[in-house]
Amino acid sequence: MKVLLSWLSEFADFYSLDKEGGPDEISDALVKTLADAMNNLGLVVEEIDKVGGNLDAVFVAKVVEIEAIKGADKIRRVIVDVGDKGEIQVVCGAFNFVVGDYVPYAAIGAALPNGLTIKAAKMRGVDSFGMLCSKTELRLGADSSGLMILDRALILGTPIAEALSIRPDVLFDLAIEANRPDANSVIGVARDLAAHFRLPFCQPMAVSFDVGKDDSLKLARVTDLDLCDRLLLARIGDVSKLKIKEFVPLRLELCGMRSINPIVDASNYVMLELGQPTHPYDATKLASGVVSVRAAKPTDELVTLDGVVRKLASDQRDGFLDIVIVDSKDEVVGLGGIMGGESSEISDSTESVLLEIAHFNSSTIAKTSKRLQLRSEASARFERGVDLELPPIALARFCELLDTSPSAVLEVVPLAFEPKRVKLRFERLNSYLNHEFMIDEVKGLLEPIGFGVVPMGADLSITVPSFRPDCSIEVDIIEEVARHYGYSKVDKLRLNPPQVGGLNRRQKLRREIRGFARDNGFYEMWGSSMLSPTEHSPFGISDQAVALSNPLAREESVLRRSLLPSMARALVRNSNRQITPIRLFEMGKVFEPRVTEEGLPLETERMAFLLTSPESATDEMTRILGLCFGFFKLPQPILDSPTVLHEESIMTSWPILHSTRSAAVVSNGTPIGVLGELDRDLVATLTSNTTKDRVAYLELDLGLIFAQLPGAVQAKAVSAFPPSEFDLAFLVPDSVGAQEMVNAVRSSAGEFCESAYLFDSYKSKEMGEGIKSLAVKIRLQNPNATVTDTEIQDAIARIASDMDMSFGAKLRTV
Amino acid sequence: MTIDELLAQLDEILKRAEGHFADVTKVADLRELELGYIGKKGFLAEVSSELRNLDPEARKVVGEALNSVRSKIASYSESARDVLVAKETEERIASEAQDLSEFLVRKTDRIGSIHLISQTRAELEDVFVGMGFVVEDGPEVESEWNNFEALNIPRHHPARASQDSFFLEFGSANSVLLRTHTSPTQIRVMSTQPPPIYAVMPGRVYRRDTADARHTPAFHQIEGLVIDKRINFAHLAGTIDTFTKAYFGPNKTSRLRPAYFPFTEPSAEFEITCTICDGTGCRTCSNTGWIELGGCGMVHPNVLVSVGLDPEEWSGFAFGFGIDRCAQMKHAISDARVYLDNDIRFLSQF
Repeated sequence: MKVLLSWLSEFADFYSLDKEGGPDEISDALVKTLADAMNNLGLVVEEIDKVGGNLDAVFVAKVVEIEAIKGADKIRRVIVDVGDKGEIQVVCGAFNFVVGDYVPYAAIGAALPNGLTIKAAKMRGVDSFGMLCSKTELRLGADSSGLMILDRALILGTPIAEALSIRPDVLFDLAIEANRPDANSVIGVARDLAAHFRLPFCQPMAVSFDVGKDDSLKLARVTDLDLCDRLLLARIGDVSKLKIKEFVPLRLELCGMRSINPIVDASNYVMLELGQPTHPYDATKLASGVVSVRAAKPTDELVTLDGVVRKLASDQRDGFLDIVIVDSKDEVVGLGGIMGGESSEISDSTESVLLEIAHFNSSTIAKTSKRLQLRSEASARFERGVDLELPPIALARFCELLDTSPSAVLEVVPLAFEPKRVKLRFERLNSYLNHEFMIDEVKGLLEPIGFGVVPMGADLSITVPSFRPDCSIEVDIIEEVARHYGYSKVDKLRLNPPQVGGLNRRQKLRREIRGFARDNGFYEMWGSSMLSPTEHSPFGISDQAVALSNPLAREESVLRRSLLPSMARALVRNSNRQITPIRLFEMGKVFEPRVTEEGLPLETERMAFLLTSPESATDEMTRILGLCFGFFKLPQPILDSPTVLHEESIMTSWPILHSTRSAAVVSNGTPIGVLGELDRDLVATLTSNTTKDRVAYLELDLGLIFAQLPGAVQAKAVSAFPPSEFDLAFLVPDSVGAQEMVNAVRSSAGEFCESAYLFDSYKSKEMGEGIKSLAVKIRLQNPNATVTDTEIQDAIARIASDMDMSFGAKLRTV
Repeated sequence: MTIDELLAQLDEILKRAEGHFADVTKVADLRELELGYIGKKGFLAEVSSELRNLDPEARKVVGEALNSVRSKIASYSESARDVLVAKETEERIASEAQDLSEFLVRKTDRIGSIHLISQTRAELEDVFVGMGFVVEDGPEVESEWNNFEALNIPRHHPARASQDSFFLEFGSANSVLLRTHTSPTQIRVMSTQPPPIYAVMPGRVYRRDTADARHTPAFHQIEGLVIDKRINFAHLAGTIDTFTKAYFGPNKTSRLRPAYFPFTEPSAEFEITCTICDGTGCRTCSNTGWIELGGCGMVHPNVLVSVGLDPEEWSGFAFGFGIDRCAQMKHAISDARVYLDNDIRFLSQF
């Protein structure tokens, strides 16, 4: 919403706030005072533009000659007549003018409002002594497509500000919140500001027009009061003779609307000023020169002002309904509250105008506008809610701008506005804002913005003005009091929570996991939760995923079922940039197309690690897995066949990795993740052969891990006796897993076994095909005594025989 | 041998010992030398064996001389040992010299990093934890009820369009979506826990915005919720200010200005002293000295009713702002799209 200081000042004397300047010279201090006030009222200032100034060396000039410049098709040589300053040659890049046109000429030395200072120049060998200007260059409008074309009645050589009666002004661009339809108008902003500065506010009034006995509008009807609860029609004649007040076109242009003709300009001006959209029809193009309002029928069609054919309809079942304006022959001539029809558009030859000023149902307008993808200044206002009391005021203002009176006026649906009354309890108000308000204080804050304040017992009865549809309950009124009291004046109190703040165990663990990953050299990444529909299957995960109904792009149209696809994106990104080694970590949500009790897709939390290495990457990743379980204080997991992950339907979202270098991670009997290498061919395809490194991957279900976490560890006494350590090496068939074997050694070693771990594994020709050597270091510790030689010998014998029996493993002599 | 001969012999042994012990070069040789002089078969033992042939008077004289020579030789040995041990230690240490800096400049294991967003989130959480808040988590996929309806945003409310949502092909049309804010977690907390509630809800949220320098379709928010008896707007202003000073620095302050959100009334935007210019005015803050951080307000009575709380008994406030934006401000990240790349050269900086 753009508002001009001069326009605002028609409703309250804001210039009086200026201690330094006045209407002809606006001080920066005033601009700041006003901008601060608007911000503090919630009318957020997005941009401030000083307009109408810096026009000292810009004059009215007439184009007398235009000539092409050889070899240049973007610029031309132009001679202009600048009155007493003579004829001057300039080079000009605009093409929207002809010889005889009047245009603004900026002389050498002119400092234009857009910051440009005009200097003599030479282009393509042609001298240019000044510049012809567009509206934007002069900050006199938004049109930058060509030169500003002036009225040919102006006197050549006159300074443009004098010729056009332009005074310095300030344009504020405001962001108006959705709950403040009243502030979408100059009057609404002025009312709030005037109240803020305690300045008298000039409320515009309706005028009763003497229209004699003209009853030509009596055919007008409104068939559905739910769609349109107020309709005022007025006929205005002798249109070609009407002149609009001279400030109107410039103000419209400055506020970003094109000036078109007096009738349309008056309609637009009233809308910007009061917030009431009106629609003027060429009355002679309407059957009987009159309009009615009804709901659209399925066959209704309209060519709107923008030249587009609109198919209209009403379907109560689907909850949509278009409001149409029809003439007495039931021809559709307008789309109520949104846009008029092309057939009855105002033209230069229009002599008689029918002005429609209505109040339409806001949600109906919103739905039609959305369905037709057609938003206009009018629909935007009706959607948010227009003041029901405005139509007669808008009519009065419309006529005043054109200095005319209507020949006929008909209020088809008379006003039946019952203002809302809201009870405001002092106790509540004072408690909410932490301040002891007195009744006069509340009156002083609310009455200037149109609210009625009447005592009701110990409390207040507040009457809400028609232009504040957003205020309907007590807290809404409290907000209005707060807004004008000043948010910044409210005390800042310290909270005193009756609890101790903190993180729960899982939240603490998540932080520690991040630290664990970092300390092991991994960079935490943030993968996209949204993937392409075919991004899962290259990793062996089903592409059947929860899909977005309205994705922005195909690449981001389904929810991830595993962290691998988005981590692979990061692998590709880094690999393509020759970053090596790559170590990535992520903790994040994955989504399964299975419905939970709440009716939502199953959402689980996972963590994943990926690393690259020129040789084997899985050994390092397995080491990380081991550390990870140590970190969680969980017993080391079992590495089982990856197929156990895919037996149950819940686990179909795990990637399938290198078939001979991967495993399912099983903890306490539950498969909780996958570990292994990404197949080299897949890596080559993904990274377009930018890496020859091996890629290892580990993904774990964090929820399942959390569910297994042990409680507080109970301390065990540390033995005072020396431990005994010995090594055993076995010749073992290849098919026996090292983990299986070592675990068996550990349990076979007996109750005193403190640890048993693999310290060597190798193969040689001498041992024969299919045989490997596994060497295990065993440590025995008796908490209550020194382990005896006999105990050690017994253990060795027991282990040797057990391993032979279970695995066919033969003890080697060490 | 005569007493004089013995004494002369002792003198001579002592003189020889002095030379020998001065010349010895290794600790290992020292023990042998010691045995040669004062060991059981050493030179002094020889002299000693002569003693029994002397008369008591002479025995006493020679005995004393013998003891004196023995203790002198022992002291030669000790001095020599001190010197040699010191020398050998010095040589060993010299031979073990290492250029430790070599290990710092090798391409070896490096520390990784915690994502900037995670770090920022933890810092923000810690501030609120210090103020007595707990942290609550919620799902990223939400029901339309939790994300909109319960928050006083009915179906055709304009605020729904302004938070353009990613709906999912799940359940009935437009009933399940990626949460557009962390507020649905507030609904979950209020629906399941009796007040008082003092909690913050950080997490990932989604808006249907094409990625640009300031937006990414997924980003992170932290919201706070307080529900208790007689909680008022002054508590809200105080909480925002306490947070501002704790997180951005004691020289920063905050202010509230009116705004509109369907789920709060009164509503406010909160601004903080510009972190770039400290309030003097710069390009970042458009010369206002303030930068907008987030939204807040008193929880709307309709929201309290939707979770079964009586607005006459309970009141509260809520606030929220972007974690990514805080990180961008603090670390001069001009383009939010850098988060989407996961380039290790970016990740490793924090």
